[in-house]
Amino acid sequence: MQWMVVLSSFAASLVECVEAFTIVLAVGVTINWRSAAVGTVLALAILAALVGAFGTTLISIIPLSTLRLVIGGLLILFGLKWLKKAVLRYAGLKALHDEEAIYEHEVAEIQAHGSGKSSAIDKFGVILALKSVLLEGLEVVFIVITFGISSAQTEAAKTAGLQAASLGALAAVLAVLIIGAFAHAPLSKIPENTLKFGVGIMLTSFGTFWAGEGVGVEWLGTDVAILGLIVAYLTLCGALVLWLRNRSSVAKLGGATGAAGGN
Amino acid sequence: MLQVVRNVTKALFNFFVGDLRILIGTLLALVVAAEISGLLPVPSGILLFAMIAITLAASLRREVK
Repeated sequence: MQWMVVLSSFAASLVECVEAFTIVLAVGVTINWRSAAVGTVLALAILAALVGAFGTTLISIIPLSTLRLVIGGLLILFGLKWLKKAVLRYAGLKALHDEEAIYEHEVAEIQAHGSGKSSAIDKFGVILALKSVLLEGLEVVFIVITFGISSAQTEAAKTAGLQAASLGALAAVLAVLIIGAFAHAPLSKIPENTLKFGVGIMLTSFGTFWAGEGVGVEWLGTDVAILGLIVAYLTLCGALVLWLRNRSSVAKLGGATGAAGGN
Repeated sequence: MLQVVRNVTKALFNFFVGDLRILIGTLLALVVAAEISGLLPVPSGILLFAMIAITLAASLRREVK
């Protein structure tokens, strides 16, 4: 057994699996687990079909940078949509719009039926989970192929290398699943709005990172840059909430002064 | 037929974006980052983040106007 290949493949795949699992976990906790599972299974089926059809030539067929750009771009759009609503809610401005009433009505209706959230399959959740698992799964496949055959000189060595790299990747998937099983329970206790804000931060951060890689950005510290992006987006949203609160209090003050002057 | 296309386009837009400012801002940020990354690969990431941040702020500003 080529243990160095197993270890390298495990370490590299672990990073990709954690990234995919973060999004799947977010979909499961905020939307529902059925949508997260359907998206994940669909992505794995597509991956299996691609690997089955193309084998090791897959690495030269799919332009990973284009895939990163498209998926990253869509994640930014989804993420910003969620962040916008969350920031407006934290700033206390969401109640000014009809959407808040609809949201409150829906929550009340769901609560009246006795369930926290719908168990029906949600398109948005399925697509989110599918995209993330597909992208990261493809990266794991690329890691396995690259690590497995890069140092091999003969066909037998290539097969052994691919087996070792696959074992490393499989171990990484299992490790992430075990960690995720423990993380799931504490996450489900967090209030829904806070979770949605967190998911918005995650989607935008991962989206910026992947889309950036897709257009040729070189992130400092490679995958560690995602943590930097998460901190940066959290700081930005905090600042935006403060700005909006100040703005609305100034507007209210102006309105009250105007009304007093009018009287 | 035209109505169906219009409704489908509108539904897709609302599903994926919901706000034209966010779509334009994100696309612009990616195009600029792609152009700059050839010359300055590391700062282009900061520029990408900054442009997305401005996009979010502009979208929020419009919402509370």
